[in-house]
Amino acid sequence: MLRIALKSALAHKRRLITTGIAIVIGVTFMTGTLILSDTLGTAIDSLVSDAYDEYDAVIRSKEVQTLPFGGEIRATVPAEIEAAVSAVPEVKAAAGNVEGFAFVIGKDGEVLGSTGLGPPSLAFNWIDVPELQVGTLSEGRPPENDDEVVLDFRTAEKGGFRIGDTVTIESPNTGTYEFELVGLTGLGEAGDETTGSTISVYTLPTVWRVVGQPNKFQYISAVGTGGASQEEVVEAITPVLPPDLEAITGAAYVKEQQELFGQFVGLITTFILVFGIIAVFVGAFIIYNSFSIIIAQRTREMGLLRAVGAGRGQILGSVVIEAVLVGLAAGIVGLVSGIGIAFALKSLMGSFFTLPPGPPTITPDSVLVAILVGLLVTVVSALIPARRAAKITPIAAITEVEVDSSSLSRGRKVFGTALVVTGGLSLYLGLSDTLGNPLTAVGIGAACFFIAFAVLGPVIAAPMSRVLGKPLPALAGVSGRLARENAARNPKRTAATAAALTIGVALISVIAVMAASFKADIVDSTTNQMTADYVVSSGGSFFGFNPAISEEIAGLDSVGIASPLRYTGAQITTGIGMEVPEGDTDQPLSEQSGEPTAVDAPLEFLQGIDPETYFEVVDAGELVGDPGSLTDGKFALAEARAEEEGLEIGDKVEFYFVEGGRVELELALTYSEPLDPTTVYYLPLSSFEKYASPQFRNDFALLVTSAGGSTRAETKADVEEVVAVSPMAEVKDPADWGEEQAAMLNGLLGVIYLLLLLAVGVALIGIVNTLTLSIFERTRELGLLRAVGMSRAQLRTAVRWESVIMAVIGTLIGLVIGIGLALAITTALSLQDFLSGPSLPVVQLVVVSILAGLAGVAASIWPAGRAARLNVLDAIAME
Amino acid sequence: MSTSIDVSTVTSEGHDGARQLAAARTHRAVKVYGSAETAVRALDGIDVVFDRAMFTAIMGPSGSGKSTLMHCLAGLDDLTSGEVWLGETQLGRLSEKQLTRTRREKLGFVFQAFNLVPSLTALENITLPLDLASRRPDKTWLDHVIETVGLGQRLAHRPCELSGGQQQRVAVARALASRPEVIFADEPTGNLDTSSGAEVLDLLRLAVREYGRTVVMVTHDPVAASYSERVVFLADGKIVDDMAGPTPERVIDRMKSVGEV
Repeated sequence: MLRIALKSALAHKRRLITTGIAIVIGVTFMTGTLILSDTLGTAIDSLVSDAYDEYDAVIRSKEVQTLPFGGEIRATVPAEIEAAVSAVPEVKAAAGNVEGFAFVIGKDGEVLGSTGLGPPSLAFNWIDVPELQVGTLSEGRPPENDDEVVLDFRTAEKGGFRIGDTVTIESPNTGTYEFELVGLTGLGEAGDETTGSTISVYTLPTVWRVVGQPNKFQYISAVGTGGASQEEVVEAITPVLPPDLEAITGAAYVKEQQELFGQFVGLITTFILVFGIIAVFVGAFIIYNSFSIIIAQRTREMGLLRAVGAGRGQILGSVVIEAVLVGLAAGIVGLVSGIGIAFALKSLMGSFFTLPPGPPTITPDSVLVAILVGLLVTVVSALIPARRAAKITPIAAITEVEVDSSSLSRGRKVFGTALVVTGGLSLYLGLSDTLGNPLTAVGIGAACFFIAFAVLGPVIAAPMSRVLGKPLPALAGVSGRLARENAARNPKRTAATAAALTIGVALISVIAVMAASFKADIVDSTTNQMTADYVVSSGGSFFGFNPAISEEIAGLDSVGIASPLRYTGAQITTGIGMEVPEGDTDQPLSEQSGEPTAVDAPLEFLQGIDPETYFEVVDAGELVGDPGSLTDGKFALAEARAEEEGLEIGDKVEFYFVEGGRVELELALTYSEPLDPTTVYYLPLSSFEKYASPQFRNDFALLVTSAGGSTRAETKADVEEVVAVSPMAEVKDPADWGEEQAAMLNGLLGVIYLLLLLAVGVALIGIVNTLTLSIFERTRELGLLRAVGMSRAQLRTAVRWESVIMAVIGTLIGLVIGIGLALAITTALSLQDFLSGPSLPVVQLVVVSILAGLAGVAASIWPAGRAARLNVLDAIAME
Repeated sequence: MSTSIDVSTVTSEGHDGARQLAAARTHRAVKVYGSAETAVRALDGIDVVFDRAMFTAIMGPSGSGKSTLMHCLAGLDDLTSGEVWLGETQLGRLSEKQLTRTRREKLGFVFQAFNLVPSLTALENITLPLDLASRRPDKTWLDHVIETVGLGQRLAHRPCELSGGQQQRVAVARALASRPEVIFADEPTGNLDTSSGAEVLDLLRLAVREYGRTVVMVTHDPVAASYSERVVFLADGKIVDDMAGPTPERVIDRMKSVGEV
């Protein structure tokens, strides 16, 4: 039987190759990302350990807040601790490290490096102790005076700066500076490696001034005297520290930093991996379909095998063996091309990080994953068709059986309908607010609909083909009619082919609708609620601008109101204990860091406002309480949220700020319309100044109105003059500001769309595959058509329209599911006040549909060509 | 001959009055399959004329070249050397597109099996060549054809819902519907029982006698051949006999002498 399976596989090489391609693409992406992840991980681990390998101990605050997407914010260490640590006999030397944010401005006046999601721009102090220096000076000398700076070599190169040049530095907190470039630095022994961050290094007093956080360190590093181990140094330091500080070993710190960086790399690779998995999933449909068709075509052959004595198990085995061969081959090819992709991605990443030369890191894990995924997905997808093959009776060898005539059972219709009803009910109950959490209900509903679609697909495929194909006879004559009938002829086949496309399209439309709803929400609230004439904005970056600019604008004669907006985060800790008992946390980071003090409450975004002016330039809806009463120690909250939390005016809530500690604030005001539905806690600036970490004390936006006697144009001109000094700030109309905020989503969306297109691409290969196999199956029919006078062009037209029908079915179902789901999710979110409601990106969805139709045309090119090239004589003579 | 095809009426040496009556003819037709030592001469210099409005059968043992001859006459296959004429058109000079149009407009086909497109109804199958040519069917003629082949009740059915005999009658109706010059039938009764086969053969004879079509039929059934007016016997790619007014007995006798039992 093994020999028969092998021979059969070899005889259908070409079919198996096209079948395998679907899986190859998915496996390629998965292994590519796994290998890339390993390669980046290795590179970053070595960069980090190079930077900190001579630390024996690190002294830092226990107060820490973990950020939602990895990374953490830690409270600072007072400068005087440095002296105390230095005085410990086991410590040879200790140095305070400042880590703040400062942007290097290029010669064109624009910020070098990223102000958003990319690698950060960091400001450090120069450390004289050689063991405690983070980087290595590759050129020039350290900064010695207040007007000197050292840059990382990559940034200097990008900005075209040479030693002796004047460099402009912009601090989001304290403004603009000019320094003389005196040296270049970098990681690694020769100072020629980088993690991609923009680094500027100053003398200690200067960095304090630039960062605006005098006499504070992020941490203190220490190197021990010769004989002491890292543990002994830590033990010796701990007694001199105040209770809110801790000392950890250098080794632990390195490991922690490696993990922190690893989280970022992990985030990126997981993100790409998800799309690889989607591609594999789509590929599974194609494998299933291909094997179904191949087995249907080989019914007689299988019947013959059964007639001459092959058992069911043997037939099943032969199909499984064939699947194993395809899966194995796909896994291996996927692995090889995955390595190729990793090479390409590595050189791409190399423009951000310095990566070690040589091939990417290929771990046995990646190899195993590639092969196993290829193998398992293929075999599992082929199991149902294999079981069908095993059911073929010997009589099939003699009788002419209708190809793939397995009918659609009643059970399928009943089950599918039941799922639709359940899903609908779940959505209805969830969205009519009778259940607790609408999102859970939407989740259940969505799952029901997805399964229902898989179950009912074959039931609706035929009627859908007929309806969609209705205009075809008028459009393309007999070719059109044939296309329509052929698409309707094998509903299961059409459904499975379309399903592969449905997945990609559904995901794209969910994302498109959600994104459009969020954007519309942002734009709506800014245009409808803002009564300011202009907004000075930080241009969609993750940082604000120097508050001094706001003060200067507020002082202008032509400006009436100038109301700044700031943002930070805090945890609401009312009723939650601060000290999490040891061992009660599974965070690996805390294992070495002594007593964890991070509380388990979710991070809330806080908006800092000027209560005197904010409500005059923003329509926050109905106010309960007096804005004037929103003084230091008080806060404002959206009415709906207050209700949900059971809070009333005058109630006290405990906030945990990483720098400011635990603070009890009193609810003084509620409002009905938040400017940004994700940020509903408002703090007066007086409290914000006190409790927010210093790096957040900058303005994201300044809402400006004209003064009585000035025209809007005059005001704008005056404000623009002030703003001109800073590359971080721009003057915008409120509507444009909304667009700009919304545009922050675009980059991410672009990447998501691109990766989802990959899934669509795999689905197209599925269409090519199905058509090719169908054409092979219909060879005689095509020969007949050609014999009675069908031209090649007409035949191509028929195949093309069949492909378009399948593509359009897949797209339409995908759109319906995607839009439906997105509407449900956005409605659920609006019930929870995160969104004002759903919004349909009609243009985008229409473009997706047209593209899918065109993709159908593209997918038909090759099969149609094959059909047209068919030798008429061979086709009709074929027995 | 129709005007739409670039018809070459270049005189060949046989362009005389008698030949003008020919619906189809070959001149020194040679077809060689394979090359060098393995070469097979399927047609070995055949000169044959099929008269207009005549029912001709082609017979011969397996491998005699009878199917090849029919395929070449119908423009489904091309000759290695020699000429095939359909009326006044030399098929060898036509492009692929012109050949397709010739098949669609001037020829009708009835094959042994798999005659109909499974996804089209009986009626759609009948009008298929007309639809392919975007020609409007002549309603009266179509009705007449359908009535003649006796399919009135089953027009909306798909091939899989028809019996073998009914399927073949649909195929004949299709061959008649476009009023082709020549109808080629390749073992049209090969898969049918005797009475269904007789019905189909009657229809083909009717096409000649009533409607003046030319029918060329390949068969190895002496009874089927006896429906024709003339039988051409082939062996080893050559014409070995030409019999007018065949009866089953005469055909069997002749076949025995050619070598087929």
